[in-house]
Amino acid sequence: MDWGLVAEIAGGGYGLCILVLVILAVVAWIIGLVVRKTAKPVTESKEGSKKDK
Amino acid sequence: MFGLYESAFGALTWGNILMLLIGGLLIYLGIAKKMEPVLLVPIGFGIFLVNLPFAGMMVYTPDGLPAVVPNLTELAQAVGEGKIGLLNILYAYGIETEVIPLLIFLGLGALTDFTPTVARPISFVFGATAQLGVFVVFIIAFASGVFSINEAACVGIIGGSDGPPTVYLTAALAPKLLGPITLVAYSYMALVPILQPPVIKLLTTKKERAIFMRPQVRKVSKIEVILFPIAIFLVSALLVPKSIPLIGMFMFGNLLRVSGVTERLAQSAGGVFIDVLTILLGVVVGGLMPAQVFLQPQTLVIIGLAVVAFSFSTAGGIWGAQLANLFLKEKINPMIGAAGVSAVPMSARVVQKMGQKENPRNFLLMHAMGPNMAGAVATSVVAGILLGMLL
Repeated sequence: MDWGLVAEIAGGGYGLCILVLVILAVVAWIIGLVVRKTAKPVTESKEGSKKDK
Repeated sequence: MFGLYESAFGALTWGNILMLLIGGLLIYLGIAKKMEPVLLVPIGFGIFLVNLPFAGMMVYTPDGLPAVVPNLTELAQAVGEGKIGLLNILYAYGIETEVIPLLIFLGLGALTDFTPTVARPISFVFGATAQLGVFVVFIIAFASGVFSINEAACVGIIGGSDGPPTVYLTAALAPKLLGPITLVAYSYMALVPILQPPVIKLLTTKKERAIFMRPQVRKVSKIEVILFPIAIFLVSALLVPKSIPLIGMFMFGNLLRVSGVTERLAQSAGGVFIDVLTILLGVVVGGLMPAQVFLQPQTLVIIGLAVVAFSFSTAGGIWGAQLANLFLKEKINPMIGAAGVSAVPMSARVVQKMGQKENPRNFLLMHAMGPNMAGAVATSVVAGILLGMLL
């Protein structure tokens, strides 16, 4: 039995899985952040244009 | 006249009879107990189809694998001569090519609402830590000496509690075990309400289980929901290329659902389309369980190891949430980590039920659905990682 390979697959695989999913979490968080930041001014400008009228 | 006629009774073996009983049990559990009926009923009937003498629905090689289907020009002749049966054709074109599990994942994507995951991206971390059972069981299965390294990986993936990645990985790495592994994976998914609560209780305190979480998750905009499947696919595809087929189909299906302009396509993908594929998958998986293949010590070991896989995956999710609580200002209920084992939506329901029992004010379903959906993505990533390492 090649225990080195088993350790590499189990340890490396699990570690890689966590790393990839953490990156995906960060990506999803950044998308949310950017969308919220860019969405706010639009709402404000709409309200502003209503006030102008 | 009867001298020319041969009934199947005389050729029935004890193995056939036992398999017919197992097939009958699956059909009973599906119909009477509502346990994953859309899969267990076709699988049960598939077992009937291949465990009756002279049926010829699936012809096997001496190794127990389905006989090789010849090219299209010789197909009709091979069927006529009894060298292959209907299920051989469905297996060769649907499972061996990975077409059916991938298209089922497309349909599942069209049925999946990722909003809770988008609202709480940390869910991905719990989905990842909840893959612990896959790797623990991989080590145990290999150490047992019963399985090769590729087979051990396929036994381990049962801990991911997600059907299509399990079928996808096993068809690629250990096709001979596809029948028992798929059957065990889907059966145990239905047993999540029995398997998870003891592990959750063992690893959490009463105080932790009663942690209150505000009922509403953050409101998510439509743009976020549309960008989510595209971004998740592109990033995971670049990080784990072997997961592209699974995550690609899953996220494509989800994009059809959320785009707002492809409702008809999403309805088709998540409706009759996935139903037809599920019938084919179920009946072929049943067809992979003739007595000489299924009634082996390996099957019993798989059944036992699946419990270990589910338990460690549940534990991994809980430990991930408990670890996150060390850093979070607003504590989360660690039980939601247990939903990271996928098994949508049963594990989220288990968390909801247990949460309400400890604290009737708690409504954890939406919080648990986040890790639940993330678990499906995580299992696809794990399947891609294992394929990349072993293929």
